[in-house]
Amino acid sequence: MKYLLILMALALSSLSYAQKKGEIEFQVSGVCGMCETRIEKALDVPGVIMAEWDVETKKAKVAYKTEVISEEQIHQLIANVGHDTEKIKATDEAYANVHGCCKYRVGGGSCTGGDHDDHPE
Amino acid sequence: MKRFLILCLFGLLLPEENWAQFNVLKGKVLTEEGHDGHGHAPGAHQGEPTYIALPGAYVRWSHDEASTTVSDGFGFFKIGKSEVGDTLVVSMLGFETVGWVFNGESYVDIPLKAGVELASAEVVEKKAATQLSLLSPLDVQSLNRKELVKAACCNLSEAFETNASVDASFTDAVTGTRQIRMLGLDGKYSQIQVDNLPGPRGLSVVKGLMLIPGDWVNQIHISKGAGTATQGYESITGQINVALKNPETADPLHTNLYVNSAGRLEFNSVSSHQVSRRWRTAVLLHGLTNEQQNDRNADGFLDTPMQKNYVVRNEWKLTGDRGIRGEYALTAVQTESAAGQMAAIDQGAAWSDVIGLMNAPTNAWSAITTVDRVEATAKTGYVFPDAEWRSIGTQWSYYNHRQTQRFGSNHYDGHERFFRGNILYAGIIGNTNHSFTTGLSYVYNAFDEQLQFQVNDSMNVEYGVEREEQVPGVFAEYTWSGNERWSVIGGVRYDQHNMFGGMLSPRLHARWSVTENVSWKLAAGRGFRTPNPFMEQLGTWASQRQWYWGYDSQGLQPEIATNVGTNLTSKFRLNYREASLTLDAYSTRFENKLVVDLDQATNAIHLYNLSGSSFANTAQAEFNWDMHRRWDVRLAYRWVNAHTDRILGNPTEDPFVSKHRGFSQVSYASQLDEREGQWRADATFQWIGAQRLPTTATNPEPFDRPDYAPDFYQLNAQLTRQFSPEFSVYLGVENALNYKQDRPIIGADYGDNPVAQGDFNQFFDASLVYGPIFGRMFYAGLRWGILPPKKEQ
Repeated sequence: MKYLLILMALALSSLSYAQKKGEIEFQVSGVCGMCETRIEKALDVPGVIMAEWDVETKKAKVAYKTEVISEEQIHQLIANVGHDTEKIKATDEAYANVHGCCKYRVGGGSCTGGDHDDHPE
Repeated sequence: MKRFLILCLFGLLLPEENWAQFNVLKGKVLTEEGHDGHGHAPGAHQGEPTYIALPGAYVRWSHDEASTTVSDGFGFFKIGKSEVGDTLVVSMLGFETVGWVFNGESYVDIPLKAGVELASAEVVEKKAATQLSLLSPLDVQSLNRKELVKAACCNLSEAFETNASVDASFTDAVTGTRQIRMLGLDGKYSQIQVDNLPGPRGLSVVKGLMLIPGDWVNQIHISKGAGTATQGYESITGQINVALKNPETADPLHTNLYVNSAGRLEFNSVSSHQVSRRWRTAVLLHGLTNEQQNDRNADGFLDTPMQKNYVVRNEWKLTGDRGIRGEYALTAVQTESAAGQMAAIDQGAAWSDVIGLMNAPTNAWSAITTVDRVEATAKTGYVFPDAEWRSIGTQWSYYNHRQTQRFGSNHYDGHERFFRGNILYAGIIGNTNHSFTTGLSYVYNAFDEQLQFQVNDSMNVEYGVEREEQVPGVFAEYTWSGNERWSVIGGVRYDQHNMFGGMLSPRLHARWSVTENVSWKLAAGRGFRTPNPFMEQLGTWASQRQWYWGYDSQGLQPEIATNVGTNLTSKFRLNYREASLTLDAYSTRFENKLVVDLDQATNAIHLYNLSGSSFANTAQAEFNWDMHRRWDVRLAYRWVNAHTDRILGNPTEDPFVSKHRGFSQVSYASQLDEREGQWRADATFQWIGAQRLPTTATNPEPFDRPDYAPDFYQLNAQLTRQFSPEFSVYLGVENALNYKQDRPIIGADYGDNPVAQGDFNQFFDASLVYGPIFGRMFYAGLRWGILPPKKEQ
């Protein structure tokens, strides 16, 4: 049984080590925990192994399989949900969809209480 | 003035709400959900914590008392802006005051950390299904809802199926009662608490676990090793604290229906209501019925008992002004169950007639059990308004437990009354690096057990146990957290037992953070308890064993043991994904133990005080890996070596303990769709190693069994479809490999040859159980509820 467990562990790790991987870190504009959820959810796609965005440093850390997804595609996915990255600026349409709290561009970014039922989460 | 003019100009040009943000700072005061304990380990990112709004917090600029404002019902506040660099002070009773430096922002979220909870055990809450803490000196594993719904287990005795630290097994082959083991020892040596108050113990030490429905439970905290000194002397191998859903954490309504292929039908519900500004209440209901008669192995005995259980609980929570907090609860339990030979239970008989068998034993063997119980608890706490680190708490709990049973022609009628008062005072010495809790406790525990055994056709033996325990005690616990890398909790309690005299129970816990992600813990402690063998050896009732008392010369002695252990927890990244590895080793040594000896003769159970040594050594390795966004993996292995010296050279190895146990679990959760619907799948595969069984070598065929049970495999799997957070259905299978213990009941007719009544009377034993009886079992259920209005974030 012990050997079975070790074998299982080995099988699992070899599966995931078989492919080429890249790790990138870049700036993504955002404000709060809600933005974090949105950004990380946008990267919940095949090929992305791990995606984290830090609300304090505004840095996204992404590990991905280079054969499945490209760096540009990763930036594009984030821009698509309305967050500017180092490489790709979100379109105004996409930015318009982010919640009021999360308006990181000049002139936005204030939560006023009341109902937030329109929030995409 | 110039600045003011510019602002005014802007004000004319911009819509009002935009204008406001130039001279008003808006924000929100929050706290992490389930705020009872230490923060997160730095660097140990565990997914996003959920926050809830804190209404009524004071917010002001440090230099300007007049600026004070209060957060509204959603935790929001507005305050006039100040100079960059000024400090905003946010405070609230029961929470740590926070100073936040203004940097020109227009909106800010300010999380507050809970300062003082009502004398709760130290626990850590994160979003992973099972959580390990790197910072608490206690070796605590917390199982949250996410973990608990992995097996749609119905009650607490079944909730540990997905946990490697606690072993669960049946007490016997007829009543369907389950018991747990921790660190290689029976569950009676663990202190089981419900909301930090005494839980299943005394006469309900085994049965009580079945009376806590899984759907009532919010979290289970499993703490290995001697627990804290503040909660009593009974913890030896660990503490299991069951946090029920309470008026504050429960959804407005949660309901659960469950049915399985053994015929068990269950209903559970929890509803919470805001009664007034200060009072919230919750009503918890549980109903279980099983009238199906199952005999899959065709031995003439029911594989699962027929039963009806009802449990009702009402909780009240007070959030008073000026630092008063209170939690009050009332619980009532009523259960009836019938098990045994099919012939004893008339097919198609009404339930009342089945239970009526209690007084009309037939030739066939049957077991009838009824439990009536009421419980009342009260916790009140007060936090000093001017000194949030200082608090006083009182905990009162009372129960009245009555259990009657007839197993064959042996009768039992037990009555227990229990009261405990605990007064705790928490404070600091100088600064918050040195905190302490001290207090007084008083335990009153009265037992009245009347037993009637039939020795043979013409002789009955009657026996009574009447005992009144009164135990005043005093305790103190000191926590040192002066260094980020070190913390120590040292505690001691002294209890003056009216029967056993003064008892000292020291406890020590220490934590050293070797690195940011590696933590090493040590625990040592001593505890004692009074044995109640008739209810602790519940399984033995399902046999013809006679009870023998070897302790008459010394009288009933307390069981005393010392436990030492160590734990190494490491969190790391494997293939960029979070993983953890936990290694632990614990050793329990008894100074005295009520030895249960089933090896003396196949028709006897001998109980006597320990002479010689008794110990249990355990080691465990557990690996958790968040392998993929959708997949989690857990692998564990646990080793136990438990021996007790028994008289006359009987085997020392403790029976019913598997030396090796391997455990693996894979969980899958799909991406949430737009309605937050999800598919979830879980599979748990276990290997349970060989267990020693009490010897039956002197029995003739076919009434003998091997001295060692074979090892076996268990596979449980469950598929859950969540349509929305309010509604989900699940379908599962337990024991999918359909493993069944071979001929579990000695004396039953397994088709080898017919069993004469005389042989049955002489050899019957249904208590030598090491594995499942029923075989593969399917179940299905649904959960439906009403969620609170969406929380602000």
